[in-house]
Amino acid sequence: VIESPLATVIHISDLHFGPSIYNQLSIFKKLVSQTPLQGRFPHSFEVARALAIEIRRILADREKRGVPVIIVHTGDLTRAGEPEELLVGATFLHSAHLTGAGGRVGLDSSVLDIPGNHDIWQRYTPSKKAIVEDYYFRQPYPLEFEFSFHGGKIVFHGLDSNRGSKSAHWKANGEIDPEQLDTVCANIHSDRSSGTIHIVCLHHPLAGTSDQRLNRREVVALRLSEAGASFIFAGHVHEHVTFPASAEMPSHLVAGSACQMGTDNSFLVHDLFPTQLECTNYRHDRDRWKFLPRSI
Amino acid sequence: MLIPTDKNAEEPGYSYTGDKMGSAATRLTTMIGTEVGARDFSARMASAPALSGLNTTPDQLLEVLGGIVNLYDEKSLELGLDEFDVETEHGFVSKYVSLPSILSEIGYASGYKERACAQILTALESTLRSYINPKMPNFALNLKFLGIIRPINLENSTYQLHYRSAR
Repeated sequence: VIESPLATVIHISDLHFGPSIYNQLSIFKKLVSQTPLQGRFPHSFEVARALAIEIRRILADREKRGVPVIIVHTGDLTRAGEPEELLVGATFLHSAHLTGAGGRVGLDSSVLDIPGNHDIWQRYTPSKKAIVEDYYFRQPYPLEFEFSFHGGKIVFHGLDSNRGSKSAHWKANGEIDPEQLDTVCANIHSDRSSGTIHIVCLHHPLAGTSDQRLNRREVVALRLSEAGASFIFAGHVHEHVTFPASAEMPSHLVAGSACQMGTDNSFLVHDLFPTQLECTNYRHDRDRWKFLPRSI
Repeated sequence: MLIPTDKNAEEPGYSYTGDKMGSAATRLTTMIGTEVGARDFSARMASAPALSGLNTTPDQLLEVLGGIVNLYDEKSLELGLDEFDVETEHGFVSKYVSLPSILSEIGYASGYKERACAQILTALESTLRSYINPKMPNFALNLKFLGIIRPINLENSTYQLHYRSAR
């Protein structure tokens, strides 16, 4: 008998949607010429479609077992923050694309979505700024979202880690507004004895070897640990990494890129049991054309 | 379970399912040909004569193959079946995944327009056929990305596909 979890959190990141939901011919030419601009690649339509299928399969399984599910996206929904890309990405996350072949392509779900550095590239372009602001910043940061289930509650805290200078931003480095961090730490600290699970979501990881990092990340990690954060979810580096809890940092799970073209694709599924969080990395196997689960 | 190539098999390079210690007759009724993954299939497909002049890449054709797999996976979800048998023609066209759907999906995956999509469909079929050994009775090809496919009538390009969601 397989024991059902209390709740499931599906963690996706770095979808990098381009301006069209379908693949575009020129992309393949770029791939063939092995351009170094890999970060600029858009999504693969067929991997995005496979991702939607696998997530729908998981949603159907959990629904059958009466397990509530939430989906979290930790940033870089778009390739370059263009309004068309945002429309393609937002439709995929919150609704679905009608294609005329097969089913609709999308998650059709309520998704907690925070911005990545690519999503706000147009923050300084007057004609495009309003759309980015409308999608990501209608609510002030930090975001707070409660997810209740039978026997408990998770509070998600969404941070905007893209608050650096324009030059830092172009280098893909991040920064968190000190006031945002203070607010999150105070909120977690005041609730630490309630048994609630607090998960902090941000785009830039708080550890790892990438040069594209968050400013003062050790301080951020320590403050969140001292406040009593349970887990930290991030993305950005396009590679799944796990950092176990320590005195300096809560358990930290970084999701890979779920559907960007030209890179390995994966996403995480976290099943919450009474005494532990069981994590599974779903990695896209190109030979089998399927996201295959592997326990972490 | 797939067992590696056996010295008693009729032709080198092929394996079979069943009990290795069983009788030769039992083994021959369940012949399985080469197992092939989507990357190898698309790499072979890139050199298909039908694609001459298109300048396609294996990556592009891998996306096309992935698109067809996605259509079958969606059907499996819709039917609530992890496995099913279906007759196909032109390689992968069936009552579950229609010709217009496949042609559209080839376009979405490759970025090409209609005429080129028909060429790609032809290349898909000829590549599939290139893996089939018509001399071997009960030959079946294990497509790691879709399931097991057996020719019914190669002249009419009809096949029997045993689709599997768990791959």
